[in-house]
Amino acid sequence: MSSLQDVQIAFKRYLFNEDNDIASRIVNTPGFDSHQRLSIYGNAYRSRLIEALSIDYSALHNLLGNDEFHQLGLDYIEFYPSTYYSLRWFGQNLPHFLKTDETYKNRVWLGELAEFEWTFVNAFDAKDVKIVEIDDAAQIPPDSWPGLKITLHPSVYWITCSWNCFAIWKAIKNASEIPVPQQLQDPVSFLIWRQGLDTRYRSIEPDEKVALEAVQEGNNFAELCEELVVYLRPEETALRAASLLKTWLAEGLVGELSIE
Amino acid sequence: MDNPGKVIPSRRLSEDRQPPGSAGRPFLGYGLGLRPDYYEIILAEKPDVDWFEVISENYMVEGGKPLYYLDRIRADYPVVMHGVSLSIGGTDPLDSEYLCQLKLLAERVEPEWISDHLCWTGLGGNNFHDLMPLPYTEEAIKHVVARVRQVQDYLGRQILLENVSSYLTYCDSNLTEWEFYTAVVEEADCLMLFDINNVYVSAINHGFDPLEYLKFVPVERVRQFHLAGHSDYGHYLIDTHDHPIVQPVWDLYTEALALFGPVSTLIERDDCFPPISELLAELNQARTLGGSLFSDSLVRQ
Repeated sequence: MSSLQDVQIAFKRYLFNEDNDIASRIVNTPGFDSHQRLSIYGNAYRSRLIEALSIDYSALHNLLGNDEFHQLGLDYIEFYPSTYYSLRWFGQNLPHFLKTDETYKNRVWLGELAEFEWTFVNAFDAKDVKIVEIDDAAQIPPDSWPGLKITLHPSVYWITCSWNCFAIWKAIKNASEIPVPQQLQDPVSFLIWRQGLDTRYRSIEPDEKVALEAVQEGNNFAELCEELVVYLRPEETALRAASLLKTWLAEGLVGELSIE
Repeated sequence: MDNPGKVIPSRRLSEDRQPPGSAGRPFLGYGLGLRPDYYEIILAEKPDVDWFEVISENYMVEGGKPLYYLDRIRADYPVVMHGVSLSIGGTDPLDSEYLCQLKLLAERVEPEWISDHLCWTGLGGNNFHDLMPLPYTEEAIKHVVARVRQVQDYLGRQILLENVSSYLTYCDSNLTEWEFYTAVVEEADCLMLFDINNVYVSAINHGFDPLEYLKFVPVERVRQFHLAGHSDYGHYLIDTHDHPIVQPVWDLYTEALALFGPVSTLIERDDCFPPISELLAELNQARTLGGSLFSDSLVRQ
């Protein structure tokens, strides 16, 4: 092993709280010893990563407070040190961590709130594609509609919450009183996407969620209508599906319409 | 990458319009680090900034606001790309995905130049997102030089390496920082992004004379200066980029201008963002210092 690699391995072990062997390879100076000098790097490593989490999960930070969020950051860094060249992706495992780690998993709303916030991060810088306008859809001949395939804009995501994390998130954003976490009687789904440069959200009904899932799986318009039979009478499904498509077009959710 | 309608400004100086004493280097004038807090005001007011420097990694995304603003600001100003994750001194293999993204971004931005830091930033597949110091040894020189050549071959252009602020010295080091930095850029045939504040911070932290550093640097390889503020912890300084530039750094900048001639100068601010007018005032201070030493008409071209 080269001396350069050896010193880098020792430094990483220090940053990762494994040992302090690197200290013996650092020059000591009076009044500013090797441990103090190393601690500047140790502190910077953790504080920069926790700051990145705080930016992506500002509502979670607000809900937990500085001390607990800092501890969460330290716990997370230990399990998921960054493996990316950009801090953009560092926080992506936090929702999973909150849902599975013994310290946090019993507070289910924490994982859901984190998932909600991370979805906004993903919508924020998703790929740009030209959206399909309502007028473009009007050009499609009526007999082609059953074979119509809808491709959603890359920024379109939806998530389902079993707890009132949306109310918590909104209260934090509005700087109003944060409600007590509680489980919802029925889960609620939310659509999150980017329209132009602005990230948007709204709640969606169960049938719209099923329709979005059908589109995402590559089903055509006729197959989408069949999926809606669970919620509607067969003669109502085409009208509902057309209405949903019109809404999606108006909201900039559709990246492509093609005919099979 | 699709980037319709982009207009590349032609404000760069051609080879035969170099300011005197500049060792033939292109001169962009006085620039600012492009940060999201200032996107809107830059587009709306087109401030008197000669060029912008972008953090490359912040634009390695697929779409949305970062690329929207980058394209529009690029249409009005020259831009240089400044990276933080190349890990040129790292002992992991160079990250081919990162280099691919860097090249793609460069094709989109058409930067005047591309820079990163003389440091290592990770190991074993982990990124520390910090600029870790290298031991100043012959072994490290040889290692870094080989990697710089690889990067330059891949990008098809010379890169600039920046001296980092440091807070410790390895027992292995048997060269000074300036000997190490100079050996790397000369043997690798790359250029220097000379950070005046980092020299000052490291001089305080390690107790060396910053002028000795300046006098050793090969003038012809210096392509850009960085100026920034730092945090003062009494017996040591940390390079935080969250304060105004202090007088000793301005003094060192003046010394550097006298030694190197006009060098494209950039002010970095990464936290505690003030109104842009405060950064423009610092930029004008740099212009005034440059103008007092060189013909103002040449400097401002």
